[in-house]
Amino acid sequence: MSDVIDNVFIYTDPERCMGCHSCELACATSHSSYDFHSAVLAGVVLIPRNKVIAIKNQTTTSQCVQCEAPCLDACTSDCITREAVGVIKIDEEDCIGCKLCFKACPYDSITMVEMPQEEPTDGKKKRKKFKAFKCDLCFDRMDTDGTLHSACVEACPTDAIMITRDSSYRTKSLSLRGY
Amino acid sequence: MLETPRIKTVDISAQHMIFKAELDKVETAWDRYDAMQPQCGFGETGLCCRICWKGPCRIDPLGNGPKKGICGANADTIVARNLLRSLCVGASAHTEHARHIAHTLYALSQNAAPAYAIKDENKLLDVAKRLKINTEGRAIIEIVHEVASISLEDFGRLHGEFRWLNAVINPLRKAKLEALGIMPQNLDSVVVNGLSRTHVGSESDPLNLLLAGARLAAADVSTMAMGTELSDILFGTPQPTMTTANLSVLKKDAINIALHGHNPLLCEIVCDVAATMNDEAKRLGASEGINIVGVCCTGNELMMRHGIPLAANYLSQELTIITGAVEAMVVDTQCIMPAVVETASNYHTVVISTLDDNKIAGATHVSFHPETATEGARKIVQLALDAYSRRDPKKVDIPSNTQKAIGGFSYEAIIAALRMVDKENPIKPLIDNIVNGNIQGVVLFGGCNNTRVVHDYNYTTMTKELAKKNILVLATGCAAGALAKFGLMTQQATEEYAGDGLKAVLTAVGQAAGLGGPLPLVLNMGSCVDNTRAVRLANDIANTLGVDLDSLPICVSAPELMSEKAQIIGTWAAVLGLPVHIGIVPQVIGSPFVTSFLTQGMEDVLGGKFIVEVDPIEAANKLYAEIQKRRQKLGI
Repeated sequence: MSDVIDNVFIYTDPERCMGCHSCELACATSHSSYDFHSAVLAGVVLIPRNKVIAIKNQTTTSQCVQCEAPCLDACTSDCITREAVGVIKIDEEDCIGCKLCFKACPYDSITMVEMPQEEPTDGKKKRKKFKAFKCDLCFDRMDTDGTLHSACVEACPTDAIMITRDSSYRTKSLSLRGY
Repeated sequence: MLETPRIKTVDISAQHMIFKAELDKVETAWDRYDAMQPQCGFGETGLCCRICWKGPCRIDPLGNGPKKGICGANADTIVARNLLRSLCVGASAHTEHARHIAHTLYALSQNAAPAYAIKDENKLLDVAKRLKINTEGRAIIEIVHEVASISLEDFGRLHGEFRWLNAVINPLRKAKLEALGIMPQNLDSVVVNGLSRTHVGSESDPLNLLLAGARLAAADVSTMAMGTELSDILFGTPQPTMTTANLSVLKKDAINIALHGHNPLLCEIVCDVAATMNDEAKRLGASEGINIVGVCCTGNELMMRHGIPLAANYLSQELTIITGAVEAMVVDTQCIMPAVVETASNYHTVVISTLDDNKIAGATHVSFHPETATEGARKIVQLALDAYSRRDPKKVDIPSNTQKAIGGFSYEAIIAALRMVDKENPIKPLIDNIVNGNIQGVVLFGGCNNTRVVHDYNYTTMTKELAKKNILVLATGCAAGALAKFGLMTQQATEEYAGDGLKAVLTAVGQAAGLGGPLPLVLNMGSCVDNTRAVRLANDIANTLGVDLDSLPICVSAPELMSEKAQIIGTWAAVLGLPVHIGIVPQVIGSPFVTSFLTQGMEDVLGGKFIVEVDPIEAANKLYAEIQKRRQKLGI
């Protein structure tokens, strides 16, 4: 558990969240080399690592809470890592889509997305290819001094989203989502 | 780490006043922009539907959430409907502008508008001819009556010829619009029709909704031409005049009146009346009397017809007040930030609204009517004189880098200059120089300012880039304001920035027209409603060559647009067959269908299309490439 205490994660205050989905758009574009407009024209599907959810009369977001990481233990291809700053990260390039992490996650925070594939030319049946995605707090946008710039936090118009290491928020976030 | 402050404007006088605003603790549009970040992604993509109260519905453009609204409307329908609604509003603004002027002309023909007169009889006869009105042996007042009556009939015409449309759109384009079934019948019903189609449970076919926008656009270009040309009859057709621009045109020792908005009906009479009240101003201690300056498109109207200085375009309107030297800001309609009232409350400035159907919350209202225009204008100027005693000299700081500019290049003025080169066939020298490549093509800049872009940066950057490549640059509206303030409407700018071919042509025409040097690098064709002046010039080229506009190396660019009027103007330019660059990502990208139709598919059907490019240098390259594509097709 000591590792978990140090991990950073995203918390969205349901009192402030308006459910506008701006964080999803920001997440999806910040994890892509396309901006929204060029992605539309190129037919590229953008994938968010978070999801706006409604609970009773409130809205919040659902994403990985950077826990003890059973996903990391489950991964057979060593593409899930615990970064020094306290973020569990999937190397999306190397992910083979085996879904073991997806099954290991206790909080349904990993999404398996089918990747677009060209039709095989040898007449064989097209095999579905998946990749695992989850919140990495925009690790790739981190400053050299370890300051994180998570796109969802920057995009939130009501400042409902924050980065925290306070584990009481982790409990709060999970209990909001029914865990 | 020190954060570099965001560059807000390239207008030096505006930078100076933004700094003063900070010192004075007065908020500007840039502060409100910062506070508004981030802006909602669903609005940005056009995917928020608020048409009925089952909503708001939002389509998830990322594909995980809902793909349909509660009624079943998908992203394409929602985006197309939202766009059509915006275009209807833009067209309505032009319609009311033109209607107001046509009414005044009608009132004049009934001797009921004593402040107004026919200032340009030649223009009246020219308009009458193009509206197919018999002028032989008739008194001027009779012709005025018929021009005004036919114009007013065009708004609701149920049968017969849509006169203004026939006067504005060339025969080949009309045939194309007819073939597509998108010829409008009149000015008013297209707007009503467009709005009705967007009601819940009405039209959901995105292509047909977009074609309704195209039909609306064909009517809008006709309305705008009416607005411009009837104004020329009433107030004179612009001719080249020397003037000055930017916030430095305000005077410390004068009573400064800033006229802001769009319609010349108001500002012209305020100018007339102010001229008679100068002595009174001097008695109050303002040694330079009354100084009238223009803001936004009123600024262009005044600059074009009278050489009155232009202080600001859209995004620097508040800064005019922040100089602390403006006694009154007099506004009519469109593009007036509600914020000016609060800005004014920090100084002695009185904001005066003038139209009964365009009141500004917190402003002093003086009801302005054509029938009693002089009395209204006198009240307005008196309010400015009263405010002068409240001016706090400690709060006055006027920038001191006035920029020279030449304005007044109406269609008629350009033709007159060309006539000095070829008396018989004035359009020929222009065509010849396009054919021989001295002029590679023409780009018309129009549109607004937008806080998403560094104020005026796209206009100035693109103009320099295009002029270097021998593109003739025309400008209207806040584009014209930007380029005037930046010194690109001068002969020196031609010397400095024009490519060799362009410079040779501008010099030859300028010399022949007696300017003692070249024409300015950018020709100011007027306010945003005046864009049809450029259409007439383009039609002359097309008709002479026997082709339609979709063949000509002519493009339009609105690199800083924001308003719904700019959206409909861009749309009609594309519907007339021209490539239209926009430097702001439009609120349609939530629909792949609408996005690809506007930027690609539309070209196959109508010859024109939108080009979205936020980088000004890239945008200039793309327009140049479009021009080359068209030149190649023409074999030149």
